[in-house]
Amino acid sequence: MQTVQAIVNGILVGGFYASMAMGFSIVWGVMNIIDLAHGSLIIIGAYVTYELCTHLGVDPFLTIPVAAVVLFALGYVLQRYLINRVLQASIFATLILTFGLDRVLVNANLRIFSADIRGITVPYTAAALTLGDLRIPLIRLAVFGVAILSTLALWLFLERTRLGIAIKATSFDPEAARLSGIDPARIYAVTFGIGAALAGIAGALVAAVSTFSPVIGDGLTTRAFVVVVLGGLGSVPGAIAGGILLGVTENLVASVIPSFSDAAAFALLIVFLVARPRGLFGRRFYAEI
Amino acid sequence: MRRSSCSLPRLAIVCVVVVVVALAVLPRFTGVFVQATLADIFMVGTFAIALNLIAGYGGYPAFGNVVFFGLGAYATGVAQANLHLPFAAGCLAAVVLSTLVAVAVGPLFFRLRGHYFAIGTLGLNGAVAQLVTNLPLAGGAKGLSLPLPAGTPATIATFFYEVFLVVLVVALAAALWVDRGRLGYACRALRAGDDVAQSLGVDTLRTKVALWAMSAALTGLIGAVYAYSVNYIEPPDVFSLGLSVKAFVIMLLGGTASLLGPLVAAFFVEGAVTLTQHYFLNYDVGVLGLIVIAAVVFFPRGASAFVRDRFFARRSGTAR
Amino acid sequence: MSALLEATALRAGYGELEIVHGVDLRVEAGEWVALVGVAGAGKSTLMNAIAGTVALRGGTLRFAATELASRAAHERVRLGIALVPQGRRLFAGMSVEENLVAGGHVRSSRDAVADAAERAYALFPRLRERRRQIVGTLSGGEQQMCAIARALMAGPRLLLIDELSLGLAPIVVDDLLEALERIRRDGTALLVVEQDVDAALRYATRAYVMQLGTIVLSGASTDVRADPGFGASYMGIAG
Repeated sequence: MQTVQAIVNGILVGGFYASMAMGFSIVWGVMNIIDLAHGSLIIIGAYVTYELCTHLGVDPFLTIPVAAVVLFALGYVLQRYLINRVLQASIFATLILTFGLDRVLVNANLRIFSADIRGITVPYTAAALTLGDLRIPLIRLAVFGVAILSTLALWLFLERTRLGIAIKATSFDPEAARLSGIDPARIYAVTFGIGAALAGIAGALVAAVSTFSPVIGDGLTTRAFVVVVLGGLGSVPGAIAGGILLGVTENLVASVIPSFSDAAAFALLIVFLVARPRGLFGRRFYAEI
Repeated sequence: MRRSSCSLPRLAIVCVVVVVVALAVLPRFTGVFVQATLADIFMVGTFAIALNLIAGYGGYPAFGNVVFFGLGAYATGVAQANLHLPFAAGCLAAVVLSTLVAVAVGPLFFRLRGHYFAIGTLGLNGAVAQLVTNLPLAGGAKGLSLPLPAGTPATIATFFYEVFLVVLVVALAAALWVDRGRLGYACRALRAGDDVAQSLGVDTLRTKVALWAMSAALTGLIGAVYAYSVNYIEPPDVFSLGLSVKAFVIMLLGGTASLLGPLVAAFFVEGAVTLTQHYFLNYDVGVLGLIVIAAVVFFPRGASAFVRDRFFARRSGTAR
Repeated sequence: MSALLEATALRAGYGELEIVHGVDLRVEAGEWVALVGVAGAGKSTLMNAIAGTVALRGGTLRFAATELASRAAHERVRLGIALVPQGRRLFAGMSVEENLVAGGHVRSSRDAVADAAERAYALFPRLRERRRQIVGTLSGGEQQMCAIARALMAGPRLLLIDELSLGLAPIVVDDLLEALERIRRDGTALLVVEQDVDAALRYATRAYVMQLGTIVLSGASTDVRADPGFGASYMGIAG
């Protein structure tokens, strides 16, 4: 039964991992940028939620749209005026740039919010669904629900809206996109903004269920790219599958050898990179450079 | 990238020897702080030169190359603290361990390209850091203390200064050997593409493994020296992504085509870092980030390319 | 009265190489103009310069009295120029329908896009049958139809086509030419690059012959074809 609980926990946290990875994946898939600052963007989202909850007393789930909008704006500006400049440069350049950006954001967060670990307590933290021996905390179920919904929303956006199709087109062939009247610079800024907005949503979820501080961003970025590698770049269902795979594996390992659950994530990463780089549902927008 | 000369001019050799000798005797005239700062520069410079072997010459962006630094640090840590072996043995252990790991994972990882290789090495670094954290033998998350070297603070500082200088010279010599020798030829062939290289008779896998093994050995060695110099190591210190990035920035600024470029860049970057830590105590992380960002935005293809474009473009006939 | 598209002493190239050395060319509204010449003559570069994916180095380029030099490629689409590039460059992993929607990016509303798509399907019924298919699975002729349809989605006043018949069977080319003539009659001017002389001049009222980056012959199609220098310049034989 402990195994089943571990699997259920893994699925629940997997949905959350998927929401963390979605923004990361879309930026990587469309613009071929690995955003090492993604974790810090998630943390900023968490702080937005935290501030709203402590000052206005609202439920964290209601702050999700605000976090999304704030982060979208931040992401749009960052891409348009900074990251866009090195878009054509080498892999080193974009990795280093986003790393530098991450350091700046971490420092900013530390100065503005201090290094204290924050958390939000909601009245229903302890409420849970019980099915026999299984315990499903309601708040985790809600997080899972939001994660799946936001992922679905992204998928619908990419498949059904004109802007979503323009983004996909740009990722396939930016020059042909220009010939169709699409402005790649604007598309990239919007895409990065969407990635940041998704990070903001993930941040709101972090604030709702766990504790956070400015320095945990790196771990979140790491998880995000493990999920993307597992699930496949450029695939929305892949992010969910990858997230669940990671979550379940971590929880199963933790139920047997507690201290190795982090190593499990890296082991999965390496196994997939070597055996199946395109992941479970991989449909790469970019050829390997 | 073509080298500007086919044989090392006599003058350059003389200059380098003079500089090395000058640096070697410098401790007589300066205090501990200067020696420590320079030692830092030598260390980071060596890291960058070693990184350049696999990333610049080999074309594989080993973003997680710092894994060997950590392995070297812990190899000597375990050798000295747990097995009570002398420092030299610890260094040997560091070199051997790092080389073995590179040789073992190389064939597996070289199938990945570009971003995937970069992430793979990041994953490797993370995985090894995790494993070490969970190894009681290595002290785990509580860290590992090494035995103190004998001597006064002044003599100890000078000792490490000289050791880092020696390692730097070794690294430069290795880079020179790679550049001028058959390995350099193989590297240039590799840059044209694996199949082109193979048609020229180059064993691509062996070349790549050789490059990474050398890079790992050098990186592991400085990891060992670092560990002994700070006496106490924890996984986040020595498996730190920040060091890798710093080295990449240095490579970016120093240019991958020159031998001394990374060294000059190391001087500036490490100098900037030391100054920021001195004057911007609470903002040093962020300021470092800004420096990194500025470096990449203004020199996306390296400072030497920037200089070349600005001052030497006229040679090619069209004004820009 | 000025032409729809007017290029004067146009120069363009890549990097340090200049490929188009001073070209004078015009297209009137509703005209079909052919651009012919052997491979390497600079026709593609010229087309790309008009569309905006290659920078102008000299001369002027006007479209409906607007100077194009300062306009980016995607802006020129809004002005009314659409290029079907060499090799089609369809958005590989997307369906026919999605490619059309992408092509209609500059349209003001979903309805406008839907109407434009309807007109495209009316022109190319085969595309309607295959609208959900991923374009990579279409035949060469169908891909060319899709590429033309995608360009039409923007509602251009001038349609540029770079290499219409490359790799296509003659009967497919015939269908395409007929469809293009219908497009022209609906009001869109055409500038078509074509290797096959026959296909190039069948419906075109005027033609330009390009060689080594300059225009060596121009005029009414019949006159150009009858010109003694035509065969020589077209075959690339000097003199």
